[in-house]
Amino acid sequence: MPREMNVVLRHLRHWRAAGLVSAEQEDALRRASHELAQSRTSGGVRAAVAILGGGLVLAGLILIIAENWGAIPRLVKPAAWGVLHVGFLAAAHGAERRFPGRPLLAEAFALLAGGWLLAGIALVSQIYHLAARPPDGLWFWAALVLPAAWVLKRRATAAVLFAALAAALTAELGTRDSWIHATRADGPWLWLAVPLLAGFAVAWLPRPVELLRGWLGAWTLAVSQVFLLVLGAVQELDRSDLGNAWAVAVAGLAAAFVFPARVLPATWDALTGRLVLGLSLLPWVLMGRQYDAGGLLDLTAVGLAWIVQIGVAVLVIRAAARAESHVFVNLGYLAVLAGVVTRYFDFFGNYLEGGLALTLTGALLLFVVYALERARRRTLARESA
Amino acid sequence: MSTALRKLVALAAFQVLVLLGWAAHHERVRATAPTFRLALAPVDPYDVLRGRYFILDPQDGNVKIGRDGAVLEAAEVERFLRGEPAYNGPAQVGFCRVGEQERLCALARMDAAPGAGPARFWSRARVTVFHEDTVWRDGQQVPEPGWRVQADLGLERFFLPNRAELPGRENEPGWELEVCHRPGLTPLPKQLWFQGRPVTFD
Repeated sequence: MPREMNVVLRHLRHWRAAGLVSAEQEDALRRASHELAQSRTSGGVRAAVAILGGGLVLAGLILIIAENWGAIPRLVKPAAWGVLHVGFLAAAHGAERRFPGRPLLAEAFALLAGGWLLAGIALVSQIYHLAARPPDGLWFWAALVLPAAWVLKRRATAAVLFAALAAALTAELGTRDSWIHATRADGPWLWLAVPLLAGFAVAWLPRPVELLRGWLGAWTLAVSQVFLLVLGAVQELDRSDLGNAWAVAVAGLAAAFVFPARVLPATWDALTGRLVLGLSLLPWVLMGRQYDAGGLLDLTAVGLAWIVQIGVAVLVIRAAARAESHVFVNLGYLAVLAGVVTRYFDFFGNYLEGGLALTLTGALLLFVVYALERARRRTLARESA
Repeated sequence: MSTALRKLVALAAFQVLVLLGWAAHHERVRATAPTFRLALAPVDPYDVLRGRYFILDPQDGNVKIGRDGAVLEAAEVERFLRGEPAYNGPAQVGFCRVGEQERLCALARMDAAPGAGPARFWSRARVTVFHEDTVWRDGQQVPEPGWRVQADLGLERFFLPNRAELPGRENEPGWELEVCHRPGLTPLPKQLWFQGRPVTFD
């Protein structure tokens, strides 16, 4: 059921309880709204189709050039790139005016223009066999896209800029001669910080991407859960040596702590956002650079990882239920399920020999799935009510 | 012309001119810079992202002084080291004519004027120099004390058309790369050569 229908149904129940509408009127209004909601393709689907369309055109054009590399004269390649780029920019500009009811068309062309810039950089690099540092090419891309954020004022441009910044930072961290090169990054610090920092940077553009905050929330939750689950299961940490990459980690995490409303989902309140981040990092703060098998603090960190993993999932469910976000309620329950299953195999994995043990395990897992599904439905029902 | 359209034209001009200007700069280097040829030991891989290309692996990119046909001499390496036991950083590398090719024959620090030796072309490279007591030969570690010089000349890949037929296998001897000389910069790849003949893909 579309989310807007939940709101309509809640209001209808309230009006009925207040005696403002009769049962027949309530039923008729519900049916009318339901038909309207069903007749519309959801925004998410349309955006996905627009992204897919833009991406396929981009990939197709790149393939055409690659397949005919020898047939297209060297100087014609960049010239053709320039003509097509001007065409994409003009289409992004013109589609907005010609089809005001189809804003995603202009977004798709803006996405295409942004991606085409990277294709142009790759094209020139290949024609002249340039061997520059990969992050330089990505920074170059970000620098070329940046003014488009003010001129085109499209969300797709902000999304392209986010991709460019996140890719450039990641490449910089992985490049040996970079000032911010991370020698060993076995903790969640950079996995969390890089997208948050890039997301924070593009949050200040004239037309930021609202969906990005939701995506960053899902990414933050996923990274938090994966690292906590793995730490709890393997009970150790390889050496972590970030060097100057700490500057990136601190900047990204500080941005999220100080301005959670800029980078984390609207469905998480500020306190939830800060708690999710803080708790997710707590075991690594306690452990420091390397896991010490005999250290009390390190053992505490592993135990804490077990508790925090479930705690973070519960926090997300609680915030999502309050904000009526189905997606994060579902993701939260998925995280709880992952935690329960991992802990079960963690504790009892060595004893699972023979048919009886496997049967009991299967039955227990089915019960856990049933109980969690019941709890999830109850949470969503409360949300709808 | 509306303000929005003017801004769009300015954006398009900025993006297109920067990128095409970058291409034009390299085109000018190709057309005007003096060129020389370096010996290669190429590898011909393929990946989805880059397509088909040669990993160039210039022969003078990793040499043991006094062995492997190295032209660079121990005295030149020791002069370059200025009494230090090793070096790792940017440096100038000089090339001398040996037959039809240019070979690495001189080193100079970035803050020093290139030596007055026989080197005709000087390029920028990332150089690593260290003393090595043993080397691996045929799977065995054998004593062979001497200087090891590694020079990253910035010549990593040469992109090939996907369906290009090469005049020889990658592991055959005789592969060379003609490069454009850019003083103070790394050389710019221009054309592949095989056994003394330029390789064309038309």
